[in-house]
Amino acid sequence: MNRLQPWYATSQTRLLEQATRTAAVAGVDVTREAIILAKRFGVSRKKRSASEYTDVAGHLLSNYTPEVAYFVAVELDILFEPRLGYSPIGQVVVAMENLGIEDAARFIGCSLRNFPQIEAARLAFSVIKSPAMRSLVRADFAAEDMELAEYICSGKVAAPLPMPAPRTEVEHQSRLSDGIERMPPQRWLTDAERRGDGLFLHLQVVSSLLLLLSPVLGGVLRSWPGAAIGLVFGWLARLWMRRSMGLRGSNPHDGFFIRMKERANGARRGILEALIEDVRQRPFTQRQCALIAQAWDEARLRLEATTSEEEKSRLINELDVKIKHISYDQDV
Amino acid sequence: MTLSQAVWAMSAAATSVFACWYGVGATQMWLRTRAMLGPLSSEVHKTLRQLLDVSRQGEGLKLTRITLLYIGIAALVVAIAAREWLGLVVSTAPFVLIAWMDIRTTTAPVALILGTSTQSSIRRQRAIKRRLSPLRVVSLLNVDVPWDKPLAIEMSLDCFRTTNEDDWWLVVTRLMEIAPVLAIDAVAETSGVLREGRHILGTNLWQKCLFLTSPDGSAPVLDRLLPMSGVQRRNLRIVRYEEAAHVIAAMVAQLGRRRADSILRE
Repeated sequence: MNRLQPWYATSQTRLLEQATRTAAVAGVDVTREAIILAKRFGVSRKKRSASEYTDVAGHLLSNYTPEVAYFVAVELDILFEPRLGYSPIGQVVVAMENLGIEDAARFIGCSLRNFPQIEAARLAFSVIKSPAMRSLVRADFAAEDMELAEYICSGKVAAPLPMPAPRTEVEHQSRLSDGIERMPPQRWLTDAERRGDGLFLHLQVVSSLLLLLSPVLGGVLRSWPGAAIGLVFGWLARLWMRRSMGLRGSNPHDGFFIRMKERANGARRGILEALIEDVRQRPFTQRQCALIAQAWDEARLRLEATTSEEEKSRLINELDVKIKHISYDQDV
Repeated sequence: MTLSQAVWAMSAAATSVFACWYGVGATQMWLRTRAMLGPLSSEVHKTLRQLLDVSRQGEGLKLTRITLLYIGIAALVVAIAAREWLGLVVSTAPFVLIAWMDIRTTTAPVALILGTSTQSSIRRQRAIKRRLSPLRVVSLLNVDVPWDKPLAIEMSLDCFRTTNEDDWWLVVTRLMEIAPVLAIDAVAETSGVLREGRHILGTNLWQKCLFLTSPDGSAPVLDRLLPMSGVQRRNLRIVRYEEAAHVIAAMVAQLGRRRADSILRE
């Protein structure tokens, strides 16, 4: 087995995950999109020529990210290859090459990542004729993994042992994330958001501690009656703080969605909730709340309909991606 | 003695024992690490704190720190309200714990263990950690072993396993730079370990690395990675699993001696 095969497989998995995530966030069903695309551009009547597919290539790149576009094209291939007698995705790739733009290179990069063996990817790369496109595709691979780029895009015979000196530069991303799972790509928390999250954490701890501190303080100052008054005060203070912060119910997960629903229906922000959102400089809009509540309702229905733990976990992850996109994406 | 005085005295006695235990532990760790590695730049502590923030323990530690802070403040308020001087002893304990946590989690490690997350590899790390205690031995192994809670709890503060997979390589390479001793499982042929192995062999890091093999001496990771320009197998430190703790302790002791020698020469 080629020693780069595991990394190639990792790159493939990453592509699939990224495409699935992006498609889920954008609400793209690749099969449906492929059918619409085929109808719109009359794919079933197209001849085996790259120029015939220029319109399809252009449409794919202008409507989806290159990763999602690639999987729409794959679906198109599955649906139409038996009918056409040739592989339409091959023509789409050549049409992409002719477009010569960076997104087209990323599309071709996706297609090169989707072979079972790395050697096949290398062979496929050698078919690309345009030097400019070869360079762009190489850059696309190099951004992810220098050694993969060198192997797939070199066109040379694989180096025999002894192996060349390995890379020493940092792979993956060059900056640490915020330690939050499934955040939108290249999205880091701003300083204001960090401060807001910190404030939320502090208020949560204080609300719990008041319940303990008040009776103890009351007891120290006014003996047992003081402790009783303190207990009532602490309990009321905790209740008010939690409500004002927008915390609902005992389960924080469900509580968040209950609150989103309230806000979507026009409920006003609590004092502490408003304070936190002002510090974060990113208040939830009514539209965002409605989108989150809707995503939760849909996910809950789908969760109830499935019994497979694997499927449930996938749905929960999908929901999480959607919520993070709605909460953190500038465009929502 | 009134009831309240008795309660204050008992609380003060309990918390002072508690605070002393953790205070001494933190001081010992700090002093031994300093003696072994010398004064480290604040940059190292900052880096370790960043790595900790993206680790699975990050959120929990943040919450614990804030909770302890408010417990300390609350105890102080109660002590002042009660005009009870013993209350000051009680209120000191949470702050000592915060200091302990800071030292315990941001002290530079003397060894980094690399491998796959199996129970045996986590136990191996525990054996090395116990042998080198109070010095720190860290890893990115998934120590959250549900069927062995005591093991999971003991190893949690020395685990830098990341929440986001994308952070893994950054965290592992930064820890490789910081730790003066590395130990890699040369039997675990996973893509992650192979990548770590290639990085170690491709840089001067192999000079501070110990390659751990199974009892029969087989090291498939090295078989796959070598030969490599500039690295000879005979120059590598290769030991069996059962010798790992002993050899790492000897390497760390050697580090200490070298540092002592350099101080004497100066």
